Amino acid sequence: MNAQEAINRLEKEMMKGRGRWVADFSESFRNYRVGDVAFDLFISGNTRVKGFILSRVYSFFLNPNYEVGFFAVSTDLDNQLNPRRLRKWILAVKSCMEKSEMKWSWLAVVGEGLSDSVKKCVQEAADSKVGVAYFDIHSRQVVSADTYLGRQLKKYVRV
Amino acid sequence: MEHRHSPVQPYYLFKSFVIMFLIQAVIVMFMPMAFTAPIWYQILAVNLIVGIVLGWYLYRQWYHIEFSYDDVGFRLRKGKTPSVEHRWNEFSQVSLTRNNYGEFMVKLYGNQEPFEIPVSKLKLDPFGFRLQVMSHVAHEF
Repeated sequence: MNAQEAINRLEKEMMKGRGRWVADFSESFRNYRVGDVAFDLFISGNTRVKGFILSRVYSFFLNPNYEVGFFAVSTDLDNQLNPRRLRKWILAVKSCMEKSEMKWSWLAVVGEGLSDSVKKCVQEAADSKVGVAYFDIHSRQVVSADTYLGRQLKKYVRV
Repeated sequence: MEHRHSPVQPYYLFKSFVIMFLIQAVIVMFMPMAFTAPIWYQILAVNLIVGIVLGWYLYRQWYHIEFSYDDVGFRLRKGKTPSVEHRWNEFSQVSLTRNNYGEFMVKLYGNQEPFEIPVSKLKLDPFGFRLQVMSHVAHEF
């Protein structure tokens, strides 16, 4: 499986699969540009899950009515994840959030190989409004930031 | 090369049949019991046959979707309404949306109002078809 196939699977997972436990994602864009950053995938949605009567009632009373977004970007062996690059992506996500009045966002980084530096870089991304997770396409391991949103992504989404 | 898609949508076909069957059932309800009771099964059989025929007609008039596309543009027609034609180069951005019923649509953004292609109703693979549309739009843009 290469990075683009992983992005395709991630998109299906978020719109049709277990990703719907994270939020109700309803509109997906590929090759989405925010300033000079190009995300492979951007999906917008809402925390109020749609469904049949019981799901709707449950969601209405217990879930906040927040606009949310899911961003995914792929890295390769030549362009490994580093703190500077991750900061740049998070800033791009935040600028998009501000523009679209989103309360929460998730950033999934899809890469090949999981080194200690990548692990540390992701785990230290302690932004409370942007949940970061790294998906290694070789080992299928997921590392998330130590925040509520990051852990949520790790819990529900697999590549 | 032109691609054509116009699959039968069983849900809407059944809905059309039910509408027509219920209309006939209401008519029968207002008929005198002395007239209908002896030929109850015959009336039911006629209602079913007429329901199927008129249901098919109603489905073709209101719900049936015909979609065709090539490298230059596409044409979409719902029921007997006039078909809508667009060229891919009228659009600059493509997204995939899902509605409350779980149906997918490819949404095309351009200078005018966004246009939606109902891919689930056309029984196309939403994710694959969206990538195909993206390549048409990128090529033509």
